[in-house]
Amino acid sequence: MAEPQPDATTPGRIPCPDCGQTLALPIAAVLSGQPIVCAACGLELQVKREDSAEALAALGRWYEETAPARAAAAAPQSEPRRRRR
Amino acid sequence: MAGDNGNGNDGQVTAAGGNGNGNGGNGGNGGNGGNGAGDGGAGPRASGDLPEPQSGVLSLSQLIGAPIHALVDAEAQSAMATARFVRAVGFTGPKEGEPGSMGDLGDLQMARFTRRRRNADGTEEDVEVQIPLLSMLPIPALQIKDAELDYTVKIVQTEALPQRQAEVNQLIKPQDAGPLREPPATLRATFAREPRAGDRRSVDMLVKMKLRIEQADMPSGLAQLLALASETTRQTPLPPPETPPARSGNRKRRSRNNG
Repeated sequence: MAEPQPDATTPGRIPCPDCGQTLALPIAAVLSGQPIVCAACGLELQVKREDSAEALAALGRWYEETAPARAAAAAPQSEPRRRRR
Repeated sequence: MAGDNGNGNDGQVTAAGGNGNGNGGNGGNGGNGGNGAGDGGAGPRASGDLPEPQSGVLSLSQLIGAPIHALVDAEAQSAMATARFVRAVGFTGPKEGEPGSMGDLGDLQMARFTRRRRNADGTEEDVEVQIPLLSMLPIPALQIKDAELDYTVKIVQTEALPQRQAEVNQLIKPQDAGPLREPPATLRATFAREPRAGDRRSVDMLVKMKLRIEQADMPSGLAQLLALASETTRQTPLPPPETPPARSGNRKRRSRNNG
């Protein structure tokens, strides 16, 4: 069965405030202050670091805590360990 | 009687799709953790003559029910972890200085962005876009997709329901007939060891659990919360800079809040 295509209601994606197309919000880009650019209309979203300090702190904690899980998910699957007898 | 396979006296059973190893391979007396009743299978005892429960010996229903209870507990803990995540990441919590009640989540935690907007008259302005953090993150919600439990238990004791209780039951439901009138028996059992081929004794205790966990279907309450969070994305025109540029006329303030 094919994976469902992410839409604007998928976490990490919002409807573009300008054109309404799905706009991805990569957490790493948000945390590093890179502009988020809509591929459809070219809209640029720039995070307001001072006003979003609390939200960015929470986002940063989440990003840090889930880093091992993301790394494990990205790594190629190794063979399961054999049980020691 | 260690190793006396297949004489049937040990009464070892395999529950829930077990291994089909119904022999006496766990060593009978003393071989299964010292329960001292390895010969089990004794007939029902007279009423009022119930022995003290032995260490490590439970009723069969407890033995089978405990891992299932653990699974339900695990799912409940998972749900609570999801709720804590939503509360901790998605909301600001009660405001400082205000006594927060138990259910006080505070406001939605918002990330704020700016963008340039071109208006219909050709002018441009800066607009603040607020996006709820909850709509930016995958919310962890796990559930046990399926669980396979494999027990090997050894029946070490059988008990009939005490006679007095059986009489009470009979009085309460005199219309019951047939097998229902038989006083039920309680089986007492202990987890057994699985015999391994070639070995006289095995080291594996037998409750095998195989679980498959997956991202849970979105609970309806959480779906509504997320829909609400998405709708909460809002745009507000920012006030113009305090020092206006020398050549005025390029910018215009708008009083409308949404665009």
